[in-house]
Amino acid sequence: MSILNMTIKEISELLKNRKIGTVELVRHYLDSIRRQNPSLNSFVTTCEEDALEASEKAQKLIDSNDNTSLLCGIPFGIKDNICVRGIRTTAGSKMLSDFVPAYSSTVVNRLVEANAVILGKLNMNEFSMKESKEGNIFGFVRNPWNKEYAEGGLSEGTAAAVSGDMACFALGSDSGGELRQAASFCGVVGLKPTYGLVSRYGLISSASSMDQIGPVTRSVEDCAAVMSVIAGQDPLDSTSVGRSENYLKDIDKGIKGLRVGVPKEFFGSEVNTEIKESISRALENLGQEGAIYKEISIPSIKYILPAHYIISSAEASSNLARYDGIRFGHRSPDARNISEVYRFSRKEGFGREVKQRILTGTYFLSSENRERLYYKALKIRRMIFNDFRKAFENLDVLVAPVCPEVACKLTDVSGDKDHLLKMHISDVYTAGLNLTGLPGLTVPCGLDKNKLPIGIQIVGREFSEKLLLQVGYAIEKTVGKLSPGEGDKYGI
Amino acid sequence: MAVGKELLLKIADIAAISIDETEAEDYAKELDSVIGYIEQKLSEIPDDDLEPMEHVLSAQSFFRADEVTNFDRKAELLGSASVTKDGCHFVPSVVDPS
Repeated sequence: MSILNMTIKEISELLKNRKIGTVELVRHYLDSIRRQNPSLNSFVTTCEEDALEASEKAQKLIDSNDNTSLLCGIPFGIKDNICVRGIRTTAGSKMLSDFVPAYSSTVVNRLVEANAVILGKLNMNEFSMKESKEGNIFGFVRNPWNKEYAEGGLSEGTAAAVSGDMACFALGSDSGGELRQAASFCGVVGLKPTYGLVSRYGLISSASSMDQIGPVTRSVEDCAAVMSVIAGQDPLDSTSVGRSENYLKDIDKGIKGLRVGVPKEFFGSEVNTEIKESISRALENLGQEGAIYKEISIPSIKYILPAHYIISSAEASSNLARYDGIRFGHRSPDARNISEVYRFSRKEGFGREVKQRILTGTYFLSSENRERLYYKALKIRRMIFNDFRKAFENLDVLVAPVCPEVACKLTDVSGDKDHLLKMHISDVYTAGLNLTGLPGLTVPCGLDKNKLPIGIQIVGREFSEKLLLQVGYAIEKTVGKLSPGEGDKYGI
Repeated sequence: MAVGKELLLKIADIAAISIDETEAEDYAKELDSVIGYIEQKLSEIPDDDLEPMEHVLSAQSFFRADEVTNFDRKAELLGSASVTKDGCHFVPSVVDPS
């Protein structure tokens, strides 16, 4: 039986009906990784023995109990900045190339308690910062839809693993949109939850007031299933909030009467026409299902980029101060005194873009510039937050593109600094939610002329994930699930 | 304000990253262009009385019970360090012996 590109729900039913076994399932994904990863470069570590052992345990549970969780025996991948005890966790950096955590993140613990099976760790940009080709220690990730193209943030392995059928779902993180952009470029579902809804304990910080862990899945229902397990208060993260619920319940409720806002600032001339058309079709479909949509204006959207750049650089410079070469991380062999241990280890351990961001953040936080630049950015953040809140006084959700373009060719980005700047500029569609803490769901809504996926982003009020998933479900129903074809259709 | 090599070297010193003069020039040039863009954008916004927003409103910290728990994984923790000695982290002298 072929389980290629099946959803969690479909696979779970096969497991419970004894049509397949959990070990067979894990072997399917391990084989897929072995076959495809050399070209896609999505996984940086695989845990074959542990995965087979965990799948045997899951099978015993299924054999002895009909009421196992939906995720029992389901194999998944984890972005390499989410700690798993005993498994190397690098954050894509030479600084942490030998780091093996002594504890697991809360999200991983919750999934393991639900008997989901860890396949391995997934590639990422160094400390989640976009960078040119030479920066990342593991290199670019290729797009399963067409290997000549990049996926989202150049090195985000999460979406490529799910889209390329190397994992049933993945855990990613989103500090400026990388989770949603990668999901959109690879034609899968990605959710950045409300800040605080999912524990960050065990997530290697980049920008602490904006980082959030979220699921990358093959369907909206799968996203709801994973969220139902990972959301909720955690005593180990004082910013987590006790708001979890069963996100699968009523997911097919329908969207009759839903009030949808379309911010015109997100649909300017820089957005690709095919993306605009695809989103328009999705809106028309929502209209036919009973939603009411109208154009609105959020003027402060044009300030998202400078505010996000200042705050994320400032927070990164502070967060990354912990890498001193002593307790963990790279230590320079050439250091002769304590000052050189710090300076040389950080010079050698961090890539170029990360060093640039640390220096930039240090500049923003210096006493001469703090008031003028950093506090001004925090005021703009308030202004953007107020504008979004005002928009939601009369609306239920907003829709936006995830990116102004579909995936780009890898040959167009190699070491190109201008392209890097362009990628930062494209964060304007996603980073506003990191600044405001609001949730955003991306769902595939079509393909462009080159058969590359286009995503639509649905934005909601704080803790409106249940509604976002209902809207996403309605869109998915009209578009259908996208997958890069069966077998070799697109060269996989 | 243009960021020159001298200022960049001072910033690198505060950030505890060793960089040479050529790198400093390169980083300074890049920082200059970023700051140029940002200052121009920020100047469009009037300095009103908005409260700076360091954290989103939903994030209200809560406290867990103040209980002693054991984290008996000393070997695993030390295993992440490059240099250890006698079960401790090992660093060069922090005081100049001369």
